[in-house]
Amino acid sequence: MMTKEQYIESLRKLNLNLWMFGKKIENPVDDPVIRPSLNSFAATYEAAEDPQYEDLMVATSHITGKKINRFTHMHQSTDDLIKKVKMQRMLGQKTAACFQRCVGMDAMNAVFSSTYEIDEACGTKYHENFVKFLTRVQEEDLAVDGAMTDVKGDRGLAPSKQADPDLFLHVVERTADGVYVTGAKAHQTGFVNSHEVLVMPTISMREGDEDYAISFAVPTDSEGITLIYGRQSCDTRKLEEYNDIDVGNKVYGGHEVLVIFDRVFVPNDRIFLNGEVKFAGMIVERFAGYHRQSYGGCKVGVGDVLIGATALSVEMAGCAKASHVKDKLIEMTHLNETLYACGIACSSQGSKTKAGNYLIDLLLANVCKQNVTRFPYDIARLAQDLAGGLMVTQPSEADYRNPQLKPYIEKYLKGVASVPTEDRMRVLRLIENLTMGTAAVGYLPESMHGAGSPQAQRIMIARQSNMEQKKQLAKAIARID
Amino acid sequence: MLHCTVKFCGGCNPRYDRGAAYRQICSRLADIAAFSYPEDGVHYDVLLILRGCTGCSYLYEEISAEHRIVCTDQVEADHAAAHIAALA
Repeated sequence: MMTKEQYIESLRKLNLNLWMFGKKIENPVDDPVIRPSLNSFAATYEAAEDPQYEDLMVATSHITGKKINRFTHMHQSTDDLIKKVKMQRMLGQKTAACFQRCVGMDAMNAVFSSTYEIDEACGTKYHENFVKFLTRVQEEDLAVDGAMTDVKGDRGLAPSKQADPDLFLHVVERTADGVYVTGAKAHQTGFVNSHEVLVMPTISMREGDEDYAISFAVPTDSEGITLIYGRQSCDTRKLEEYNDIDVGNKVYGGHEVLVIFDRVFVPNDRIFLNGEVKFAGMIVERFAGYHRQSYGGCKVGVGDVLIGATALSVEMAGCAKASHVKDKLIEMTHLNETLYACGIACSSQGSKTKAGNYLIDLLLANVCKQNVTRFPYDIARLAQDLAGGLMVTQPSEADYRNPQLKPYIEKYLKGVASVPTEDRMRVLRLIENLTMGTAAVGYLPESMHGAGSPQAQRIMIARQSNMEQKKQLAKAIARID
Repeated sequence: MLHCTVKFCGGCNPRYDRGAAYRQICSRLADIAAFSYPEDGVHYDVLLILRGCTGCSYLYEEISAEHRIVCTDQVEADHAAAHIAALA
């Protein structure tokens, strides 16, 4: 396995075509806007080195029998699925941000089982290709971005019916050695911190969409890939002279990028789906299921930090004993643990695929994610309720560092006398960061739309609900023939 | 000198600082016990298991040890040093 330091050095060797604020970024590793997201990703390497977290972070490869980072592991049991969720909660607690590596793990598990079944039905060699890729990922402990979401253009039209054919990523040329692809993937979490990108189709497809039913892996710095870094609320606070208190979370963060593929070459042995339209939906459904499970871990860990920050803020303000305050903290905990319960539940009810890795219970995973589209917002609302208006009206760190203003701020922003005013400011900025700053991207809209927007889960819940059996149950009790 | 090893649970939501508890135990027993992380094929006098809560049931049977001491909270971790000292 790679150490944290080796991982960071490996990123320096990438030659990414990355743009941010209209300029080419030559050194993303040391860029102050990007670095916090790298630190979060690096935490997945650092924790694997620490015996305190080894039991969650390290697994045994079913291919080589060697110890590997769990983020590169194919789940071999329901216990593995449970450990995955626990690992994600732990990392969410440590970073209070999106640590970005889940999407690759989820994509790899989905493609692993899907390629096996595609080969079985179509006589192709995609599983062999994928296992070769996976073995290298495990051996070299690579970071993999899972890329599913196309930009999609007119949502009412199929991929092949769009006015611009590139609005869904597709094959534009086939050669004896491989294919060339063009298109764009949106909202790509952690791409800048990844060595490889694993591309999947974004929706179920039908006849006529063959060029769009494509799955493959290529290095993130492949020729033809352009990255445009996503803006986040309050992102330029990281560039200010005083950039400690006001950023809320100085060390960790997350990122998304728009990834443009302009005639990117994919060699034959890196292709995992190529025109078999009826299997595009299988990859989508499995990836979405795994990723909906993931949110029952990572968002819970971030929620733990937000609940803790909120509890600190009321203690610092001297109102921790008020009954409504205690009740709101209980409500936040109840909501957070409900998310975790769903993550654990869908894992414990997982089952073995034909390829041998384990898939979560899809109904429960979708219920998990449906709750995630709501509860973090409720938790954030309660955090803002208890934190009070000072969270958004307190002076800047630059004011606090000004010798003329500091005595006033120290005096008038004081809560409980024994608590330093600066500590109170820091906690309030952390709550701001998580509920409306850079980390809110990951904690709120990502909870809403990541791994599929709410309606996507409702469609899956309807499909998996076993309604006919429920009606039969009711008929039996009501004595209806 | 007791030959001791330690195994941590994964730490998904620990109720106490398992790392700090381990450092404290090592420090208190520095004169009578040598701790190291488990290695394959090695037999230990004591396996100290530091769980963050009561939720995990792993006993790490693959680690060979004469005595296994399981801690699930700070109180048990505080008692563990005395327990190990009594084995010396």
